[in-house]
Amino acid sequence: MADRKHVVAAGECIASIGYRYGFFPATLWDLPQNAKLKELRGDGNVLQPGDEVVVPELRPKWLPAATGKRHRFRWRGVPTVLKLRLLRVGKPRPKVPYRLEVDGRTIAEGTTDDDGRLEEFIPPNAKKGRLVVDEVEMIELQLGSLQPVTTDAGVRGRLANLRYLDDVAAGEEAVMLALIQFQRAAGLDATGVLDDTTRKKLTELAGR
Amino acid sequence: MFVGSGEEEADFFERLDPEWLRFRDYLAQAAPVARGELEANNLDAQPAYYAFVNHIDAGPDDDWIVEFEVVGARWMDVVWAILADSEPGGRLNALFDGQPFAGVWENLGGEDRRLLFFNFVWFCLIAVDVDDKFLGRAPVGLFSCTFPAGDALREGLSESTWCRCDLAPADDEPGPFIGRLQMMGATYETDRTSVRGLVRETFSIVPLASEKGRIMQAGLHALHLPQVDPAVWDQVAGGAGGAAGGRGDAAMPDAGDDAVVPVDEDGARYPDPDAPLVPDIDDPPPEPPWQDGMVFRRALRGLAGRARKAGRRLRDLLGALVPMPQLATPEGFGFPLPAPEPSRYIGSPATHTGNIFTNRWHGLAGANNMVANPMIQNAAAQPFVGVLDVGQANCNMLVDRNGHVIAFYDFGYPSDLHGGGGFPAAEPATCFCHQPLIILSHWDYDHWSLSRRRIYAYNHEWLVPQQHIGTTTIAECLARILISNGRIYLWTACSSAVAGNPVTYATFPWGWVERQTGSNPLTQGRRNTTGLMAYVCVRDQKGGDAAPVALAPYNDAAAAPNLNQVGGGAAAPGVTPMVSAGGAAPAQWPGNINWGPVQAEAQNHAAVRAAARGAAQIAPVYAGLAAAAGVAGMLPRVAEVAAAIAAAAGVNHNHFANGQPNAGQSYRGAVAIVAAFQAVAGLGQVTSDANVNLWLGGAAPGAVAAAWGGIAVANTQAYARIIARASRTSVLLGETAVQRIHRIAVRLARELTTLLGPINALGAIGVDDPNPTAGAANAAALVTRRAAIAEALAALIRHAIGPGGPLMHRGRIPKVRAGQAPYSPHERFILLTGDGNFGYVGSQHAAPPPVVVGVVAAHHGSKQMDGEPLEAEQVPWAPLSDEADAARIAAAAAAIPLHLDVLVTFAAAALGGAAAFAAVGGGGAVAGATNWGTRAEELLAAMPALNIGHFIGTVRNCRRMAAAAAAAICADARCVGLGYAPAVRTLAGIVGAMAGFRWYEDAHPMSLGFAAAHASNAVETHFNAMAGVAGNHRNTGRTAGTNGVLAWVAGGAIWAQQIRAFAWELGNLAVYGSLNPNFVPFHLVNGLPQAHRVAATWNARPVNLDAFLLAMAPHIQPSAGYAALMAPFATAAANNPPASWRDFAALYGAVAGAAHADILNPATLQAAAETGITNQAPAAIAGQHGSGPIAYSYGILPNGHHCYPAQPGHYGHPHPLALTKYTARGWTRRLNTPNTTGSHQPSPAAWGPVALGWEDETLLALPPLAPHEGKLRPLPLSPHPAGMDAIQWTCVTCPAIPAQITWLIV
Repeated sequence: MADRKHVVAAGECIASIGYRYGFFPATLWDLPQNAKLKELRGDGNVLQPGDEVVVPELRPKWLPAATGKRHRFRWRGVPTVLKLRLLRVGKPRPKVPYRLEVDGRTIAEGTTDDDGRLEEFIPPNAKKGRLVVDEVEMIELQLGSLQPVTTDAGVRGRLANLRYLDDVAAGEEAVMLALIQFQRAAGLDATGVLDDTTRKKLTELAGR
Repeated sequence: MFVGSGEEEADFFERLDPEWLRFRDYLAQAAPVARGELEANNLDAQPAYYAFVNHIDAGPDDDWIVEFEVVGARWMDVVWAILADSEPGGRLNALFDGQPFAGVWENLGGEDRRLLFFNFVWFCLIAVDVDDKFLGRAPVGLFSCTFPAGDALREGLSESTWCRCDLAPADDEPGPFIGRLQMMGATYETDRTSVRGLVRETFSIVPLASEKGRIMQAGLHALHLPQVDPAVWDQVAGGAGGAAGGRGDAAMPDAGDDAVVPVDEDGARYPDPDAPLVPDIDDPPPEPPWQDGMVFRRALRGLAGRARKAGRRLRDLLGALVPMPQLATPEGFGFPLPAPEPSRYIGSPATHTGNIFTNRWHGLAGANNMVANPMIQNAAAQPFVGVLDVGQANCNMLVDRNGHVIAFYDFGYPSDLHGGGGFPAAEPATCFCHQPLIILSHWDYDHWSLSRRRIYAYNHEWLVPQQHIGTTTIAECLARILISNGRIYLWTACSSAVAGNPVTYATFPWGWVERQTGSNPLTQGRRNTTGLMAYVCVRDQKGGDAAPVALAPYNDAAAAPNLNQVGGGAAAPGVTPMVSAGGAAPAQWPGNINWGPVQAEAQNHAAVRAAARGAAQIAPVYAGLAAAAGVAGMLPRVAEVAAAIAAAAGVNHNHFANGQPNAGQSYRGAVAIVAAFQAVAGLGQVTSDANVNLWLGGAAPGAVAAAWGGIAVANTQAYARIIARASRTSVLLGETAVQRIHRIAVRLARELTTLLGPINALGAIGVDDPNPTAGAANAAALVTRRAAIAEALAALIRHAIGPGGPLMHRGRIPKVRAGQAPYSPHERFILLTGDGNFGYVGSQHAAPPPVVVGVVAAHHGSKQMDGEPLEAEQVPWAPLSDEADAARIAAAAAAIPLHLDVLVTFAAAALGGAAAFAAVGGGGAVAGATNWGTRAEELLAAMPALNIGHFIGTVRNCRRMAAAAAAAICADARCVGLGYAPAVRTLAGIVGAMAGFRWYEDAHPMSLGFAAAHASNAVETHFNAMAGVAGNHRNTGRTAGTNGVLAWVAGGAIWAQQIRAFAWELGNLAVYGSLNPNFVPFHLVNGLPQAHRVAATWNARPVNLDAFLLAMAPHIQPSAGYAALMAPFATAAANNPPASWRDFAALYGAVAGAAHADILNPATLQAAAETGITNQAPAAIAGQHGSGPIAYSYGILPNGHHCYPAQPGHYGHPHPLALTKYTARGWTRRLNTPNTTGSHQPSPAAWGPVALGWEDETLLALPPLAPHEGKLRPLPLSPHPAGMDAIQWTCVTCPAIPAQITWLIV
C-alpha cells in the first residue's frame, strides 16, 4: 500500500498521529516526505490543523522468539511526555503540589521543581487534561492543541496562557491590546503589531 | 482558573446545564498545550479568589490583621456571567457598573429594590446549591493575615471591600501576608486548612467599573447584601412609630389589627407577569407607603401565597438558570396554614407570680397587661444568661425561669485561622428544645458559625442586622437558613428619612435589643459597631411606680454622626422577615446532615425523620389496639401519646438495610407500644409515678420486654416511665393535638434514643451503623417512597415545627422602634455586647443609663472595635462597686462648687495611697522608686508592691479614693472651663491607672510594661487636668514648713504646675510618712503613734469614704483644727491593735495637710458627703456585692499564645488595657470561658461556662436558700470541685445537655 497523507485535526501532533498509526513519532517526523512540514513547523508537537503528515505503510518487522513462552514488546514513544511550567504573574511557582488528570483519570501527582516545572507521561492520544494545582486551583488543558506561533491561533493561545488574553476567540482589538501589554512586559516596542521579534519573544516566554 | 474545595468542584463544568455551556468558552478557557520533549508550556495564573474584607483589627498605625471571606474567582465569574446574561442581571449591571453601592442603593425605586431582592435570593440558592444541580456549593473559605503598618496594599482597603487575590502555599507563619486558609467543606469536618501567603503582585481591589465583563465592586455588594422582600414592606401601612412601647410587646398584630394591610392574594403587589419587570430607570420611584412611620413586620397572613407568586415570578425571570425554591402549599400539608394570632410567649408558660411587670410608665393603656418577664426568677429555677465556652468566638444563651433556653445571642464558633487553636475545651452544649430565637450581634464568622456544627439552628428564627457579608457567610449560614425552613428577620439599616432618631430598639419580654450607631453599615462597611446589643432584664422594676427613663428620643448626633443613610428608597429602619419562605425541607436535607460527632444535634432531627419512618408503625399500633378490647374508647390523650411514640420510636434505618423494612422488628416494636399503651390505657390516666409503679408491678414490663425483644427489664421500666411521663405531658394553652404530638415525639425521640440506643437508635441515629450518614440517607430515600400516611405524618410534624407552623407563634420578632428603649432605673440588666463598642449604644448615653449588673466583655475583651478604642467612660458602672460608689459620691459632690483645693488634696491622697503600696512591696521596689526618672519606671516599680497591696485588700480603697478625687476634679473643672469631656477622660484615666495595678495579678508579665505605660499615660492625663485646674488656685502658703517637700505633700497645697515633677515624692512621702527617719520631725509634730492607730483602724476594713468624710468634716477647721480632727480617730484606734496602716497614710497626711493648709471648706465637704449618701442605691441591694461580674470569651492556642495576643501594637483578646478599663468601672469579678492554664496571659480567674444573673428577694426564694437580692448564689449547695461558686443547670429533656452543667457565677 502506498503512503498516505494524514490531515492534522485540532489536538493532534506527531506523537498522537504516530500512536494512531503505530509509528514511533520520530520515525514519522524524520521521513523525507515530511521534511517540508518539519521545516515549516520545526516541532512536530506543534502542528496546525490542516497540516498534512505523510504516513507510510507499516513495515513488518520480524524478531525471533521462542514458542510456548510469553514475550513483552515495548512500543517506543508511548506514553509521551507532557511538560508544563507554572507561573504566577510571570514568576515561577516552585514546589507547588499538583495533580494531573487525563481524560478524567488521575495519572500523576507531584510537586513542581524550583523553576515551577513539571513533567509527566501521558497517553499520546489524550486530548483533555486537568491540572489541579495546590489542591484548589484547576487548570483545564487542551492537550496537543497548541498551534505554531506563526499562526494566529498559536499567538492567541500563547497570549492566553500568559494571561494577556482572556479569550482566545477575542476580537482583533483585544488581541492588539494583549500584544501591547506583552510587548511592554517583555521590553519590546509596544506597537501592538505582531512582528517576528514579538513572535520570537512569545515563543521564548510561553514555551515552544 | 477555577478554585474548588474538593472532588465535587472538579466536576464543575460537568454540572453546567447545557444552556450554560456557552459560558464555558468565555470563562473556562482551557489552556492549549503541546505534548512532547521540547520546552515546557508556560502557564501563568489569574487571581484565584474574590476576597471580601470581613474584618480589620487594629488601629491605623498598627499592623492590621485582616480577615477575608474568599470565594473562587472562577465560580463567581461564572455566576456573574450567567446573571449578567439575564434581564435582571443586565439591569443590575446597568445600575451599579461604575457606581459605589450605597449611592445607588439610596435612590433605588421599588421595582429595582424588588429586583435586587430577587437577585439576592437567587444568588443565595446558587451559593448553597442544596440540590447539587447547579454549580455545586460555592467554593468558599476564610483567610487571615497581617498587613503591616504603612504597607502600600492597605491603600483603599477597608471593611466590606471586595478584592481579588491569589494565595500561594507558604512554609512559614506567621508573617506579613502569610496566614491560614480555611476552605469550607460540605461539613465542618471536611474543612481544609493550609498555610498560604497572599501574592502581593496579584492583589487588587475590585474596581467600581466592570472590567472585561467581570463583576464590579457594587455588583458584589448587591449580590451579598441581605435584603427585604419588598412585598413585606409594601404590606405595611403607617406603622406605630414613636418611642413608646412596653417590654413584652412582642406580639404580632392580631388578625383584627386595623393597621394590617390585607395581603393581596392575587399578587397585585407584584408586577403583572406579562409586564416588563424592569421599568425605565428614569421612572420616578413609587411613593414609599412606609415613609410616615416605622416599618414593622405586620402579618404572616398570605405570605405563603405571595411567596409562591414571587417564586413564580422569579422562576419566570431566572427559572431557566436555577431551580426555584420549593414553596409550601397549604394543600401540601393537608391543612390550611394558621391564621395570624397574637404572639404568646410559650417558651415559659408559667405565670409570673411576683410583682407583675407593669407598663404603667410606658404610657400605654392598661396596667399589668404585659407578658411576664421569663428572666425573672421564681421558685423553679434561677434564670441566667449563659456565656458558653466556644473558644475564640461568642455564644450567649438566655435560660429562663423554667430552665428553657429561649434565645441565643450570637451563635459562634472559632475559625481555623489561628494555627490550629482557639477552640473550646469541649463541644458546647446547646439546646433547641424550645425553639430559641437566635440573635446575631453581627455577621463575623465567629459569631454565627456554631450553626455549622448545630445545623438544627438553621431551622430556627434568626434576628440579624443588615450588613454587608461575603460569600462564605451566604453559603454557610444565610442561604442555609433559607433552605432549611428557618426564618431571617432583618434589622434594616437606617434611612436618612429618620436620621433624627438613629437609635432603634426592639423590646422582648426579657428586655430589648438595640442597634449600635457606629456608622451606616451600608456606606462604611463596618460591622462590629453597627450590630445588635442585648439588654437582658433580670430584675423588673420594683413597686411599679418609678419614673421611666429616657422616653425621649435619643438625638445625640455627635455620638452617632453617620447613621443617616438608607436601605433602598427612603426606607425606615425596621425588622422584617427577609423572605417569606415556607414549605417543606429539601429532600436532600438528610444527606446534608453531619451525623458524626454531633449526635445530639442529629437527635434533634430525630423526631422528624423518625416520624416519617415510624408512621408506618402507626398502622400496626392502631391495628393492635383495635384487636384489643376497648380501642374504640381509647383515651384521646393516650392516643396522642401513642401516635407520638410511634413517630418517635420509628425503627432504625438498619431495619431497612436490605431496602425493605424488617417486618419482625417493626412488628415487635409496634407490639411493644401496644403493650405499653394497653397498660397506660388500663390505668385510665397515668398521673403519677405511683401509677407507673403500679403498672410496673403488673405484667406489663414483661409484655413489653418480650414484645420488643432484647430490651432488658430494667430498660422496660425506664421505658414505661418515659411513656408515663409523656402521658402526663401538660397541655399548653392553645396547643393543638398535632402540636402536642410533635412536642411529645421530640422529647420521646431523645429519651428513647438514650435508653434504647444500640437496639433501636431512634430517628436514624444509627449508632450501630458504621455508616450512619448513608444509612440515614437510605432511610430517607425509603421514606419518600412509602405510603401516604408516612409522608402525611412527616409533613404534619415538619409543619408543626416549621416556620409558619402552629408551633411558630412563639417568639415572633417585635416591632423596631426609634429612640431609646424605655426602662426603669430600678430594673437590672445583663448586657450582651458581641464585638460592639459601648460608645455606640444609645442607652448608655441616657441619664441615668440602665443599671447593668453583669456584662460580657465586648469584642472578646479587646481594647478596640472597628479601629476605635474602648473608652472606659462609656463602659457601664458595676453598680455599688467601689469604683461606682466613689464615682457616685464624687458626682454628687460635683453638684456642689467644691473648693478646688479639696480636690487637689484628695487627688494627692489617692496618689499617695497608690504609691503607699509600692513601699509595702519591699526594699527593692522602694529603692527603685527613689530613683524614678520617669513615671513609667515609677509605676513599673510600684506594681509588684501594689500587687501585695491588693493582696492585703487595700488597693480597691485606693481606687475608690482616686475615682472620687478625679471625678471631683472633673466636676470642678467646669468651674474653670476645662470642659466635661476632658474631665471624664481624666476620671477614666485615673481610675484606669489605679485599676491597672489591680490588673497586674492577672496579667502576663510581658504585659506589665504595657500596663505601666498605660497607667503612666493615665496619670499624666490626670496631672494635666489637675494642673490646669489647680493653676488657677495656686497656694504656696504652706510649702516652707518642716522638710519643705513634706509640707507640700502633707498640705496638699502644691504648686500645681510642678505637680508632675514631684509625683514620686508625693507618693513616697505619703508612704514613708511615719517610717523614714528623715521625717521624724514630722512625726514628732504630728504624733506618729496616733497616726499609726488611726491607720490601723481604717486598715481593718474598707475605707468608707462617705463615713470618713462625714466624720472628718465637723472637725476640720482652718489651721487649728488639726488636733481636733485626729482625736476621735486616735481614740478609736487606741482600742484596736496596731496593724498595717500604710494605706491610710496618704489620706491621713493629705487631709491633715489640708487642714493645716486652711483650705478645706467643711460645709462644702459635709454637703457633698451627705448628698452622696442620699443618692445611694436602694438599700435592698446595698452591700450585696462589691464589684461586678464580667465574662470574657476568647481563645488560647496550644502554645499558650492567644488568638489575638496583647502584644504592643495589637489589640488583644483580651487586652490588659481593656481589663483596666472594665476594672476601673467596677467589673472586677472576672470569669473566663477558656482555660487559661499555660496561657501567656495567665489569669487566676475561674474558667468554664459562665452564668450571669440576679436574684430578687421580693420574689420567691430558692429553696433551700433564704430570700436574697443580688448576685446568683450557688445551687445546689454542694461545693464545686474547684471551690468556685457555681450553679448547675440542664435541660430536662435534651440529650444535647447530657449532664448537669456547671456554670460559674463568681
